[in-house]
Amino acid sequence: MTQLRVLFPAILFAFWCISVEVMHFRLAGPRRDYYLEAGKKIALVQGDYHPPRARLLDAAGTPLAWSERYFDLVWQEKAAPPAKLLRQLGLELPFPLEPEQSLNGKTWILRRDLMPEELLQTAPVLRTHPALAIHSRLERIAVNIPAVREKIGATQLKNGGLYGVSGWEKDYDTHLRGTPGKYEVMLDRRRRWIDSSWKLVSPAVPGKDVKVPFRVEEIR
Amino acid sequence: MTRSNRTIFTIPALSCLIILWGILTITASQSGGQHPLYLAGKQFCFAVLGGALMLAVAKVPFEKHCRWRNFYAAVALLLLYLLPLAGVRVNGMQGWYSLGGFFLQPSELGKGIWLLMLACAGMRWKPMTLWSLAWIVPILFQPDLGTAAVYTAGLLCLWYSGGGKLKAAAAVLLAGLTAAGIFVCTNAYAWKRLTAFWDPEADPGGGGWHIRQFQMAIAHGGWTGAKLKQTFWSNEYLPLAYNDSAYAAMAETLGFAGCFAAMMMYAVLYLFLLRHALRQDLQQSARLYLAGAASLLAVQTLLHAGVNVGLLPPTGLTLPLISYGGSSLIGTLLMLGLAVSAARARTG
Repeated sequence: MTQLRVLFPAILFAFWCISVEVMHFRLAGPRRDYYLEAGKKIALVQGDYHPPRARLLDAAGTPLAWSERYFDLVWQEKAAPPAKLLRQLGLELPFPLEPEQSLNGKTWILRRDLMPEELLQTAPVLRTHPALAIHSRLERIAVNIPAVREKIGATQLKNGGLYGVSGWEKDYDTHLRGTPGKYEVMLDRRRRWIDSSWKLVSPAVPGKDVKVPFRVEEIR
Repeated sequence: MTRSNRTIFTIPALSCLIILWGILTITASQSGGQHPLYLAGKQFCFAVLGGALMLAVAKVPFEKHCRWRNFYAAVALLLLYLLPLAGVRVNGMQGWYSLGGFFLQPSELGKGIWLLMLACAGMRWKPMTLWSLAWIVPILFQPDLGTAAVYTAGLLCLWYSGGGKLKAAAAVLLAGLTAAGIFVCTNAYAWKRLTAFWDPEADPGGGGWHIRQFQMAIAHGGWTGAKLKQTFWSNEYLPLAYNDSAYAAMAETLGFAGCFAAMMMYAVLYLFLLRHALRQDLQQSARLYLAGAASLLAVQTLLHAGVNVGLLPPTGLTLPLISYGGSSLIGTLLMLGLAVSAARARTG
């Protein structure tokens, strides 16, 4: 075994190693922005988030209609969740599950109205079970007086926001609705949000409470 | 400290340092999951086991290893040849045994033994070729082209370094390239991967997907790497980030600086082995073994890194000592343990 014979492969390896480092240098430096942009096209999405619709108040300041947001744990498949999975989830989650088919029949709601701490407890489970998701829903609540409800009118859920379609809800829609904010978030291969990647692009401007020039007693 | 003691200390110390780099990479590639330390913890256990085996192998004189080589080879080849009957298929390759949750890959474990057989064959082309074919043919049938390429390149380096005829090395190289060419031309999947390698952006969601993920992970790491919980690409997009894409995952975690440091550690380990291979006071078989071990380590490291930075088409190869996997880690540590033993095998 001569020194020259041993050195020749060593020189080839050194050349190859330098080529690897040059390629790495190129990706980490001069071409970095290009690949970061390409990565954003694959994984980054922007979305709107709607501020809660503001309240409708009577002349004395009594709330007539307000919004509430709820979060449900949903099984995003038409078929019922397998019993084995429910048993496993029962062990992983500290709250009981009550599966019921959703109204549109396309999903199953495993638990309604999750509390904030329950949302945090659910996050790790979502990563291991692709068909599970948290769905939020906005609900418009109005006082339980038929004559007043008629004047208030109705709202409709569109793209995650509540829009007034009749009555005062429609008349004061622009004031009540506010302006949606924008966010961006990274998605994983299954197109689910990646924890900790959520970023606010522009904040939402909440709607303003509207006082109608009547008192509840007068309408009643 | 004597030269022999320095050898015993330096090779395990460098290996430990590289393994720590690997554990950091594995942790980062799993940091977004539910159990970020699960694979890193397992790798640590493999490292402890491999380290103990390495030291045990290093303590045994090299002459004894040479005497027992036929027994070692019989066990390693038996494991390799029984794979079609008792092995399990993972990622389209029948290269593993499943032993109660642990996957054993004989082609990774047997590298040191194969080198020992070649080194003890004493630069005679017939036994060297036969032993190499005995190892490489079953690996080709798994099919594990990456590992077969590493074995072939290792054989060429050993043959050339040991003073073998250049014509014979050229013939092996030509035969290997021809076989690879025929395989690529007749296998639609391999052809698709090769064309995607030339232009990954032509089919970014199909054949070019893997290459694009390498590029994006490395770009995301930049010069100094992303924060531990911000390694999105390793966690979500990079296929087998902790294993076949370990270099790209390391680039995202530790950046150019971290990868450069890792390559320097490999270079020091390689040069250290090579320096011993050139020592005139060592037995011929020990010197051949050291030259072979150095070459095998360098070939596998550079092929893996070459694939990850886009110099070579994607193939499944682990990064020695860094990629997750018991067989790969323990196999490499055993090979280095034999190298320590060889570095102490003086003549007379």
